[in-house]
Amino acid sequence: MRHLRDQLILAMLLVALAPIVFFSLYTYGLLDELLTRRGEERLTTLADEAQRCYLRGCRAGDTRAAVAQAARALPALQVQAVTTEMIDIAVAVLRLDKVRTVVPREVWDGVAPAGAAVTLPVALPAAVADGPAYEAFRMMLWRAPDGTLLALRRSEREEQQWRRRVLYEALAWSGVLVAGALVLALLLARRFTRPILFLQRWAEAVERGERTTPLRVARRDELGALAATLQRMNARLDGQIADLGELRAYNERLIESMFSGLVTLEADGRVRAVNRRAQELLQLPAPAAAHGRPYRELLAGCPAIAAVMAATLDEGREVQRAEVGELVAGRDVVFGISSNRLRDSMGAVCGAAFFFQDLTDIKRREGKLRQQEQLAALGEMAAAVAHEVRNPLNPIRGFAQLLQQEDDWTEVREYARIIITQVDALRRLVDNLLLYARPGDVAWSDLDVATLIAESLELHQGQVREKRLQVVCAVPPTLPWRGGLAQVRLIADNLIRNAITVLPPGGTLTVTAQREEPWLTLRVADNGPGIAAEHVPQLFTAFFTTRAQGTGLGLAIVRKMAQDMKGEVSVTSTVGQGTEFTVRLPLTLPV
Amino acid sequence: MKNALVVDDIAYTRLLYGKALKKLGFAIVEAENGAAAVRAALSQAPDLILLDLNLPDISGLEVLQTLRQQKLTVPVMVITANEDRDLVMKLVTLGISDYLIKPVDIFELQKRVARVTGLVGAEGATPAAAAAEPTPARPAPAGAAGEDDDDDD
Repeated sequence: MRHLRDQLILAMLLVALAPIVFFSLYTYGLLDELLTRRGEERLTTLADEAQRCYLRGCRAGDTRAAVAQAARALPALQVQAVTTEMIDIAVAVLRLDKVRTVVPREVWDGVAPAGAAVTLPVALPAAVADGPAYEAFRMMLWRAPDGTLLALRRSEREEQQWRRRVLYEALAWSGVLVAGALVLALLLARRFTRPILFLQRWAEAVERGERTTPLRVARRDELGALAATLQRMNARLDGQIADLGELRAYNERLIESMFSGLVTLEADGRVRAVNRRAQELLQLPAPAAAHGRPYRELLAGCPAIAAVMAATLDEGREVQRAEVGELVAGRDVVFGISSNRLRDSMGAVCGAAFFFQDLTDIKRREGKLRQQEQLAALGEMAAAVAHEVRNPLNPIRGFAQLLQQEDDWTEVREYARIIITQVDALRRLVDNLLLYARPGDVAWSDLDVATLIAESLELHQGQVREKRLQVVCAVPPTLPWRGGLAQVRLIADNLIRNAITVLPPGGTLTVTAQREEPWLTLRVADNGPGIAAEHVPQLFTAFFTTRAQGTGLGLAIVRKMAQDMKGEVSVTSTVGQGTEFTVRLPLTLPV
Repeated sequence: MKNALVVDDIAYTRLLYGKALKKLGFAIVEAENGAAAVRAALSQAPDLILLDLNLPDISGLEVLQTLRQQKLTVPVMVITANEDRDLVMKLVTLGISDYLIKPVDIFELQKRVARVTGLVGAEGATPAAAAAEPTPARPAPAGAAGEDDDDDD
């Protein structure tokens, strides 16, 4: 009986078998047969008694008295003398009281010898009030030694009583059988419900997290296998719990040893975790005390940080290395703060994490460094300006000194003219310097670029004539655009002047302006000497110049003006072939 | 008559130096960039070079280096708008006779030119002047075939 399944089936069979067998017997007449056989046995027993009574009576001498004696002695048995007559060789008629019945020849032959007895089933009409009703019973025919044929049959009443008794007996046995089966089934059921209960209690203990003793179920059926599986599962669970504990401890150590402060919040704004660094940085209570409290309450003293938290948690705006200033414990602290929303396994936002760093010292150092850089840049600029100022000052001073000794009025006038040109150069330098250095405010207005270019070319007409330059002007009659008038004029003037300056006599100056979505494009090209490739990157740098004349600010100013109007300037140049400057300005006003 | 090479990219500056040196009896050769300066120094064999450092093509320092490589020992006076200590040290190792910052006092310039050119012949006291010492011996052949002469040394 290895399998629980088999045990169950057996138990069910045992419970069901008794009534099934009983009712089967009853229904199909098997019980009847049983009753008949046992009835015959009883008849035989009774008949033996009756025969002995009769024989005792016969010894007294009177047959009739002997029959009466036997009938009296055995109330359960009807004893009658039977007369017979042969009808033919096959059948005899047997006369019993007033009833006649046909007896087969072999039965007759059976009872023919003296002392022989034959039992035969008979159907005789019973004496009932409203006519004959046939009653089937078994009757024993016995030929007494004196030749008298006796019919012995059990009385009707006795037969009924006896049948009832046998029936009750069968019912009682059935009951016993059913009860026994039930007890057996219960025992069997207990046999497998008990370990199941045990397993259940054990599993409940595991569920409660109690340290359990190893499960020992010494069974080789499914329950044993189940217990073994549970045992293995529990062992694995124990292992996983241990792993989880280790992981948790590792995480905690990691968070605690982080250089950054860490605060994590639940979605509803309650603090979930705070590491030691965050506690120090933000002057928070101990992690245990901070846990579960709303961040607005905890960080009431740090409104800027609370605002970042609100932005992340409520509006979903995560920040990367934002810098906020707070007054913590009377000290101005610059915090670097980064935030991330936390999501659960389904991807729903379940909170946020905030990382803090104290950037105060770094900021201070950075500020100092920036100051130094600014000073260095200022020094560089000052040196460049000094150089540019000293160059015109040199002839001014020199010629002024020569003037002191000069008697030739032609020379004197020449020296004075030179001094004036150099003073003008100085003034231009100062003007350009201011243009270059001033803030890039643009007074936006509607203007016609074509007109501005024409004006600029007109301004340089003298030099163009002097150098016999060819001017190609490919500009539409009108080119309306919204921009800064002063800026566009400076760009056009500087580029055209530059080109004229570098062009050899007889060279060609080409000016183009047109709309090229999304830009307004202005091109100034010359077929002059071109610019060496190594100089191109520095071309727009202030005070970079390869020429004697000029302040070194012209192209720097062009770039600044273009940038002020959200545009850009670029250059292509080939040594020996010429240079083309391209200025692109946005057609639509940037916001 | 002594030759002076005036190297500066600004025309008025060259004119100024020229006026001042002519009064001292110099004949003036002008160069407006480094390449022209090297060419003129090698072909004209000047007795003095007034050299600006900030030139449009190559720097005055490079001009000086080229000349010294060509074994040209002419006295060189640097007149520049730059004040750069490191640059001055480099120039000194290349043997310059003077270093002036623009704007120059033109009379002071005349005095120094006189001293530099005069000192060379008379005393040969300073190391810078000593480096330039052989110069006076050279003007005559230099005028004819200056470049070949250097190679013969």
